[in-house]
Amino acid sequence: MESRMSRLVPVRSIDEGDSHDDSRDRISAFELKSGNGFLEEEVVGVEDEVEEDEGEDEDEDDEGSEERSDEYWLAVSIFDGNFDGVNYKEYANYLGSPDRLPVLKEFIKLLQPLPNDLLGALGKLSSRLYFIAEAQNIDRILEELSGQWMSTHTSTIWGDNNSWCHIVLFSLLLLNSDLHNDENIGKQSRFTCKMFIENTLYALRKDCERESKELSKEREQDISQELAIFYENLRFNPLPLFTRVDKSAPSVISNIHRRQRRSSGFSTKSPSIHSLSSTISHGSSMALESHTTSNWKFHHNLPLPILYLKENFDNEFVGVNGTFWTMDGVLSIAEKKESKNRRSDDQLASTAEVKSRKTPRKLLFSWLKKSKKPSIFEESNSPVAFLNEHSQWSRARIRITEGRIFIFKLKNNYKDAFLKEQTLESMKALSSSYVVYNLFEALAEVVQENVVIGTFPSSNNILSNRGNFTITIPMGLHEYKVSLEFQTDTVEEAYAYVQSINFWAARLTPVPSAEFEIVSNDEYGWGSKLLREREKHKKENPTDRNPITNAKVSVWYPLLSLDLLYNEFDNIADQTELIKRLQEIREFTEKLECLIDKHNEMKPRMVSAWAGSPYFEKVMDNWNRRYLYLNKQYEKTSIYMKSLTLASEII
Amino acid sequence: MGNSVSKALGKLFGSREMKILMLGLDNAGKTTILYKLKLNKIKTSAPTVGFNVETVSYKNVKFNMWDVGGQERLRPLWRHYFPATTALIFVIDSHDKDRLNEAKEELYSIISEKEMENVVLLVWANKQDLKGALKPQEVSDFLQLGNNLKNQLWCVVGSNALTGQGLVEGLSWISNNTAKK
Repeated sequence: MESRMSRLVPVRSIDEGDSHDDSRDRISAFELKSGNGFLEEEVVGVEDEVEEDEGEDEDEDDEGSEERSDEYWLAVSIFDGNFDGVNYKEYANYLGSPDRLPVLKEFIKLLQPLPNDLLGALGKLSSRLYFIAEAQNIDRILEELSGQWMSTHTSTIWGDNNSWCHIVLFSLLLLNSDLHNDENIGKQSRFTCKMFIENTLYALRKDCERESKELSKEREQDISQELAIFYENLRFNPLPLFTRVDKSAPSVISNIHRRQRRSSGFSTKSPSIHSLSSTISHGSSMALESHTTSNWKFHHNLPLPILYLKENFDNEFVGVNGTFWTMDGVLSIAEKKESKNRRSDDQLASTAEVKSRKTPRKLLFSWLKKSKKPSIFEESNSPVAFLNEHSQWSRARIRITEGRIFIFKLKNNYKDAFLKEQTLESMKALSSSYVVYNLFEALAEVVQENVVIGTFPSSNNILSNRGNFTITIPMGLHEYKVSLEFQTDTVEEAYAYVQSINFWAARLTPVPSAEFEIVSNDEYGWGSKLLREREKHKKENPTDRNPITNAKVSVWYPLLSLDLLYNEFDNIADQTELIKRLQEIREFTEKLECLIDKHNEMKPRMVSAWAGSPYFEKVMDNWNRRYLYLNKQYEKTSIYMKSLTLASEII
Repeated sequence: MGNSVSKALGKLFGSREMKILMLGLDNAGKTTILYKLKLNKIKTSAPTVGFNVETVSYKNVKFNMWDVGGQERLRPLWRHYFPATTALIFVIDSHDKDRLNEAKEELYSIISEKEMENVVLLVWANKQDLKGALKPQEVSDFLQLGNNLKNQLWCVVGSNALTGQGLVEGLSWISNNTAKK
């Protein structure tokens, strides 16, 4: 087994995502042969195999090209990997879809002669077809495979039971996923040989019951033996995956690069960025910013995709400074000292050295204040810099447009000429560091709206006229919320920026109605049935302070929602027209109002129903949590609604 | 590394792994959902022949999701996974009213298995984006879960696999309701 394993180094493309279809590809170096129930792999020279295949095809073509159907030719082009209709990784789904049975039949015929055992046949299939697909499509492909295998292997332990072969093939594929898919966690639940045999036999017996067939003890024994051999084989030799390998090596690396998700701001401080190859070889997960995010593209001079549904009025207003659509100017941005940072300053300094100039983004870390928990349900950060006289402010050019905020931190010796620069490229060149955020779910607020600071009437403190505003942008699940604080010369200016940010955020952010439409038997203490029961019980038994209820009371938490993923992608399928979004937000706000009212009405009922119960605290905590959450949602949607309403009056 | 932060949090709040079986009729949107969730997957691994299996991570909880399905004769094969399953996700095409009954039967045939006694059930009423799609409440009424399920905790969440709406909410619900298990 050892020697077999050592030869088993499949040429696998590391890319799993959408791949480049245009390259003329090579075929993975696998050819399966089969005999005596054992798999034997033979590594075939890549070039050789291609030639061999072409040779075979030619032979077949000669046999009767005139009578061949369209389905046949389609099957051949899929078999050869030349079919351009879909990505080769979708071939299996293509073949397996219900309306393509004729093509599927032809395709499986091309695999003839099929090896003598089922595992061999499955291996041959997976070495010629990228065989990761939806269950139903897998099902249909395997059914066809088992039918054709059966027709050429008549005297086996499976007899003429087509359905048995089908079940066994499916079971083998389950086993392969179970044993070898790295995504499969929970090792204790992985198949043992015994479990695999038991499980497969169980399905076979069920099938016999249904079809009124008989499965004798002897037959079961034979089958068990065969299955045990399959298990041992599959345990050491995963089914080969047909892959195309891109000819240009770097693309493999860039594929890896693309698949990484940006895990945290700190991630970019890791030296792993600079040693891509070592990370690849270790196979560990890296934390790099995904190719799909704005920041990555921006830093790599790639065009940024349009985030919103562009409408006629947008052409008129985008680019006009001082409108909802565009705000552009130089502001002060608060430098935040990372006193709560888990890393010591030493560490930061040393890692910063490693980074060098190539990743200007890291310099922005001092700007970012981190909230304590990676949760969107955090209370909004209080504007500390504004209240703190020791706060450091830096100058930065801010541009808010088309759903993004661009922040260019100005070099210390910036000149006023810089202010005239318009293109993002030239602004990049003139700044010491820059960053861009999508405004999905962002929320901006003017500090002066909530905080009023008294000034001495006699003092002519110019500071008192200044405006401050904060932006909070959720940044994904394992990351902290980004919270930035800005200072403008006037309060009016701060309002203008805030309006613009909220305007874009409102346009981009889908209305999160899913959570409010959930139906469940989960009980938090306000279920009407439960309350009725308790009230009734109290009436009938006024002395019994703690009626036993069967209901379990759960702790209420707000559900996490999609906004945790917004920084992961740059294009959202849910692009909605401004007026329609406004309508949605209006309805949602009204709904929230109702919910809050109802929730409020519920409180006295709950108090009386639960009084004296050991659940009382829990239930009232639940009530509180939900109340706060609803209010926060309401506050946010109201702000969005206001911005969009004002904008809709302009257009 | 950024992961160290989540690791630290994991230590504080404890981290869990749970196996989730995602089932549903064909064309209900299971694969699209899996693909959408993949954005948040926790590690990079080489693809493996066979079924779509994804591990996604939310709130220190690793969700291991299997997209399985197939015709009736194959169903007994899933049984192996039932005892190890913490939660069952059943995906329903809320727009395909003709097949709702089929979906309902399928759901009950699975959830009534003895091994499924202690799972929590999440129903994704998918394709909410389509006009005329049944609302979660309507799907819930149709499935009559309240009348028929005595043991399991259940929940119907409206979802739209294309935009991702409802997905995180659903997983979050599972996570909230399996903490003690």
